[in-house]
Amino acid sequence: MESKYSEISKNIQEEAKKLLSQGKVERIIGFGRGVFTGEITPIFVTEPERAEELLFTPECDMMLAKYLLDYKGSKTGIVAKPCDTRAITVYLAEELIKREDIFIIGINDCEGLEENDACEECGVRNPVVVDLEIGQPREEEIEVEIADELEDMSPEERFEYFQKEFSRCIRCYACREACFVCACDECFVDSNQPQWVGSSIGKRDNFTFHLMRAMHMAGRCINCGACEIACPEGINMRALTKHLYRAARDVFQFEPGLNPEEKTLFATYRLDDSEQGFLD
Amino acid sequence: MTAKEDFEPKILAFLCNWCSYAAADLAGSSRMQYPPQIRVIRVPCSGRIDPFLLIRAFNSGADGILVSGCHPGDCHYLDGNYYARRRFLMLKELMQYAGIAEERVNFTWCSASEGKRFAAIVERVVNRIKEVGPWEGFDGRGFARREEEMASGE
Amino acid sequence: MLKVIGKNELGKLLEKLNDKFRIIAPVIRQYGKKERVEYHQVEDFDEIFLDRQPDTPPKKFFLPQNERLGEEKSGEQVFETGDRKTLIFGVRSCDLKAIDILKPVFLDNDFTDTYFEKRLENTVMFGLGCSKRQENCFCDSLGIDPLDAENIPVYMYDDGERLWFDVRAGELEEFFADLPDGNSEELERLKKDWQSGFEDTKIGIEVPIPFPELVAFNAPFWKEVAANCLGCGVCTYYCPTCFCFGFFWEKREEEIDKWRTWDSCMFPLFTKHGSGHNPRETQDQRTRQRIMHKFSYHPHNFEGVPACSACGRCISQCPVNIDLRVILKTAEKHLKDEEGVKSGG
Repeated sequence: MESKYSEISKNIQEEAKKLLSQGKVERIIGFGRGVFTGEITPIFVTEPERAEELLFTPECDMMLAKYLLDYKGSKTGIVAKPCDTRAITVYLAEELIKREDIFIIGINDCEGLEENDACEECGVRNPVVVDLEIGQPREEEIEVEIADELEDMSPEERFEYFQKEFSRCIRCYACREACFVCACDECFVDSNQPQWVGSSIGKRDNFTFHLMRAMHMAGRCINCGACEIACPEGINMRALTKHLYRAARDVFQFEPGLNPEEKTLFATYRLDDSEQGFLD
Repeated sequence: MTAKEDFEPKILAFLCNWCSYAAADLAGSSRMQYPPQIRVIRVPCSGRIDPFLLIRAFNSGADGILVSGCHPGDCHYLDGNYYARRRFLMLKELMQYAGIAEERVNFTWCSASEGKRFAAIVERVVNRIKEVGPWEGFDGRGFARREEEMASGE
Repeated sequence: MLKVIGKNELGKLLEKLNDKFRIIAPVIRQYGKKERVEYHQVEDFDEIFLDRQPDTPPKKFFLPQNERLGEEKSGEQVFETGDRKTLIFGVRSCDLKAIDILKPVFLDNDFTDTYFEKRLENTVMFGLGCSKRQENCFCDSLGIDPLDAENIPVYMYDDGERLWFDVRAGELEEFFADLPDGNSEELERLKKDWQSGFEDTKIGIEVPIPFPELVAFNAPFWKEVAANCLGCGVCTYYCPTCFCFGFFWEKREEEIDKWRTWDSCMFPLFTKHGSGHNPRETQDQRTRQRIMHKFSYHPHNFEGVPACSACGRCISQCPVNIDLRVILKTAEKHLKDEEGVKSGG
């Protein structure tokens, strides 16, 4: 195990060095270690000499794709886990970034990350879009199911469960910032004309915030788990978004982030879309 | 709490300008009887209705919502209601999963000539919502009795 | 007076205090996979957990995240004190210092914040010394003593088996009177041991405080240190000294209630003008504001005291592990170089 990751890290460093010294990219977004904590932190490497700081370990649980939005219009390399490439795919589908602006160093055969429960529900173990592959791709498909822990609850029980979970929310918006989907110019919580949701941490506003957040995720969320890891209060952030992921998959046969040519769920329609639950 | 029979729900009805609003108009001018508990909001198209507006309606104390647009294929703007249809289905999934009674979230289509149908739909929606009782808010505390809660400074 | 008891006897002592105080202490809470130590009101004293620094600061007991200030119409202020005073148990030196940092801000003679003032009057804190360095703290580098604090009625030490109580306030002596006396020399020896543990792990931050305002503001390193900042508010909401707040109004029946809620300089809305213009448009400007406020503006205004108690929570909680110590080290290097250029030239 250990050697596999040091192998990957070494490959990343070598390739990054080449790319930077050949001037193919202006910078590479990747993972590095903090000076005092030794914890993983996103780093931006611009000089080939600093390429050695790049690494990859099972602790690298941040989504780096979002940083691409900060560097639109300049050639940027990115060390991408398969989920990052799905995120990039969503960006491409929504035309938020240009394919020619980015250089994707994709990591093959991702085994999932240590802290992230979402990895157990992920069936995408090779990059979706990639310019340069690190390691051998995984050949066999894996069967995964996106679990529904709240399946057995009655609606009333679920309502209470969510009330309790969301009541801990301090509205720090770490979930929003960690999420690659949240790339709006102005977030609905930052809007005060209209004010969609109050800024207090009352149960009412918190519940509303989480519903609205989940609604925004529908058809974009790839269930990467970044929100849940970022949440300092340990709230079950994925319950709602996961349900919408399943719903989009089952009702519309749509899964985001798998095809850059395909429009996202709400950006298109079919004439024979389901009307399940509508009053006839 | 008031008895279910006396309960007068507040229902927000988002009606598209071209079909459903006209249907409501027709129902009225044809002197059809239907329950008075809906508050109509006229919107240009069902495709204009941001799901946030519907979530916000519940945040502000609506007991239920009714959204009605043109029948698929009849949209004044060609395909606004097709886009809306996907959004509404997902919103309904979300609300149901979050534990908000399915009866409170209602979507339908109604053309300008369907005054009768409109009256019937409203009656149906009002009955559905009466069935599940008043909406107590996301905090479960109701909207009328806020006095003590405020005093506690919470 | 110095008292010492076995840790298993703590319950009895708190039982006595419970009649007079609402006791708040650190307890463990499990949320999903996350195990956290938080301050909560405790009834079951066996729950109390003193082995590490709580993840949340005690700030919220003085400045709640949501606070109803009163009715806009009548102007009447509301404040619920409850029947007992509040006792916050086991507050470490950094958090005690943090409350001290908040005091001059809210208790300014011209603009006294009566809500904060009343909460402060109604609260007693028992300090707790750190026998070892916590996850990411560096209080000793900012001149805070991890093993003592000023103006505290009771300061405690935990040597693993026993709790030492250094009781300094006369009015609390009655609760401790019949407990066994502690040997002050033994405590001194223990403290020396702990002290040396801190010496061994000292980082040593020699940044000039306050930062020279203009030089630091215009320094080139902000973009670099804030490059991976996401712009969430975790660092400010977990900070024991961040005190920025906003107001909002909520209508009920005929009256309008005025509320106060925490705000964070890390959010774009924080400085956004009505015109749509935002003077702090980018995240590095907002990060700069956070650091500059703590290490330049605040010490400039309040007798050289930085608005940071070095508890390290912003480091532990940051979703992308941004390290305040690295920022300070970078600033130190830059500001020293700058100084050198100045004195040399």
